[in-house]
Amino acid sequence: MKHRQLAVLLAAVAALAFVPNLQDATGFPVFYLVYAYFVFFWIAQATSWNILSGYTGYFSFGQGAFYGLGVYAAGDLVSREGVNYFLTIPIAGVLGGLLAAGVGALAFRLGSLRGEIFALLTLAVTFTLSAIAQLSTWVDGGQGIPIQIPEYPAFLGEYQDLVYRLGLAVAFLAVLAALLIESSRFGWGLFAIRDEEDVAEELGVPTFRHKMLAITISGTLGALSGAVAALQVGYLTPEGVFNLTVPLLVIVMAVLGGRRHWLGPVIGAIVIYSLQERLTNSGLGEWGEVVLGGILVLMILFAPEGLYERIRDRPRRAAAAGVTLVVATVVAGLIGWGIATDWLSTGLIAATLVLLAGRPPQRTGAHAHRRLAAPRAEGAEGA
Amino acid sequence: MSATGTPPHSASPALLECVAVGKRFGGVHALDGVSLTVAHGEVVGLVGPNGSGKSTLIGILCGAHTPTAGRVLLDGRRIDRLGPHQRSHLGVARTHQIPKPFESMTVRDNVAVACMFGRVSQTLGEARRSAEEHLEVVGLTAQADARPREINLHQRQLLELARALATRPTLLLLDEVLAGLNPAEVDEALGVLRAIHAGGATIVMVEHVMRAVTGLAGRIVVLDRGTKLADGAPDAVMSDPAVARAYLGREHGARG
Repeated sequence: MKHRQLAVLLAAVAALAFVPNLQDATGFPVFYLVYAYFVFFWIAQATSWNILSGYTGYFSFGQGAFYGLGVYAAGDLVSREGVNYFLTIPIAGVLGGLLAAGVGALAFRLGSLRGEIFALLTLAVTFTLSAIAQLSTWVDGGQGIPIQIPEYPAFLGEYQDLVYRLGLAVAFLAVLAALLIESSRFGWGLFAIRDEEDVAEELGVPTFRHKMLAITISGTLGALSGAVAALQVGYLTPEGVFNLTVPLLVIVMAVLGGRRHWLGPVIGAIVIYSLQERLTNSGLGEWGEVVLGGILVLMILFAPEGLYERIRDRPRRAAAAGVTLVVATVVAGLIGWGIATDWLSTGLIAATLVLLAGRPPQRTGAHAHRRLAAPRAEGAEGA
Repeated sequence: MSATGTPPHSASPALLECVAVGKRFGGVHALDGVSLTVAHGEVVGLVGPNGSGKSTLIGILCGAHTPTAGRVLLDGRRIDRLGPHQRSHLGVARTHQIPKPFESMTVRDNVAVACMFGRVSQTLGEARRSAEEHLEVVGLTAQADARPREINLHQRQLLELARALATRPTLLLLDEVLAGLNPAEVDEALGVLRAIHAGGATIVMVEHVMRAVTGLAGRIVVLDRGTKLADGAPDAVMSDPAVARAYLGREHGARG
């Protein structure tokens, strides 16, 4: 199972890495590479969030801190210190891991801060970093940091090819980590923590160490992805980097895609990003956000367990959704509505609606059935 | 290593030793100067009225609470400052009065987690195979692929037991594992517990079902208001007037 998934993942990444080479032959617009880069970026961020919050159940609002640290580490080191850009990526990863370990040491030592307290703590860390970026003239000081295009070997191709491949590499690393964790002893320790932390500890799971490792991996991946994002952002400002877009969107993506499988955040990132892009380009302006919000409410109501579980638990419905995806994409293409990404968005929205239609399957959420008075609860379960 | 304070004439060396254990919650003495020795292979029933400190003692043994006084030794080694997972690796396991399964996992995987992380660590694949054996011991083989919420209370308590066994404990702490069961289910569960004991486990059980305590335990320890009131063979303890006053007079008649 694990080996097959690994093989599929490797094949997909190898194929995707080759895509920029097709540009000369097919002449497709560079825009598609930018679009794909953003999909990779969100896959990496949502997966990074999920390794901490999805797997352990410690809900974080602090993804922006890891992301922002990565962006500024790369930006400052390149622009202010003249460090080779490619060196700044691993440095950003290490810094992200250290920040995460610091947050973890604080939160997990202090009597296991759970729930909203943990979420608030992670949010506070983000605001603190943002304030430091505003105040410290070394980090930013409110001036903004322009990022020069780094020098790189010619065989890596056009600049956008480079950004695309770096984004793909980090997304691959994140998804690979999620996949390996999920099928390992470590991953099962995290799932046990998510379901019943005290019991996990009593059954021999070293919960503190597990949580520390999970948050450190999450922080490292988030910052790595941020360091690559610095290239795409181009000009850094504290408001632009440390806003709530990243922490909120990763939650939406992982929750809607599904938090219990490595594919969940991947699906969520693809669907939500294309939905958001489609709405941004729809000419609806701010109303696009309202539509996005409305769709999200519907998804949370009808598929709280996430799209992945719907696909897994209902193979026939999933097949129908797959057909819908292809048909809707092709139809939108034949009508000639917008460009290829719009066709794909149309297909994805239609497929998502097919998945969401009908009665939701039985809840399997970890916390849906936490019972306080077990002895008499049997009869009430069916409702 | 021989445990300090073990009487030289005891039949087998002590597995568990509590020396003057005390626990204060704020100003309240939940436990005060409780000393207790459990030999290898023994089954000890821990009884007492509500609030007598039974659950606190179980909590101190498994690491959920840190004692404010005294020492706890397992096989002569001090364990009262160790975290619960370290004690699990040394062979201490417990069940919960209200079952606390991992709700997102199947019954089999609930047990597999304990196999992976308990006294003997296993990989996921090995653990899933071992889980089958433990499920067979408690009679849950048919429910292996079910989710915990799909099985009844009795089965959830058996799952709790299977999970504790899967850590391969040397000391098994049972916290009212028979609570809420009907007489037939109690008989079935007692059969499982006898088999577990026959397999060599040392058991400390908190139990209100007197039939279970007297039928299974070779020794009974009575707690009352945080102190040890009596400790001895079931018959002797049950006919102790002090025990009758503190515990049986109020609880036994009501609980049956």
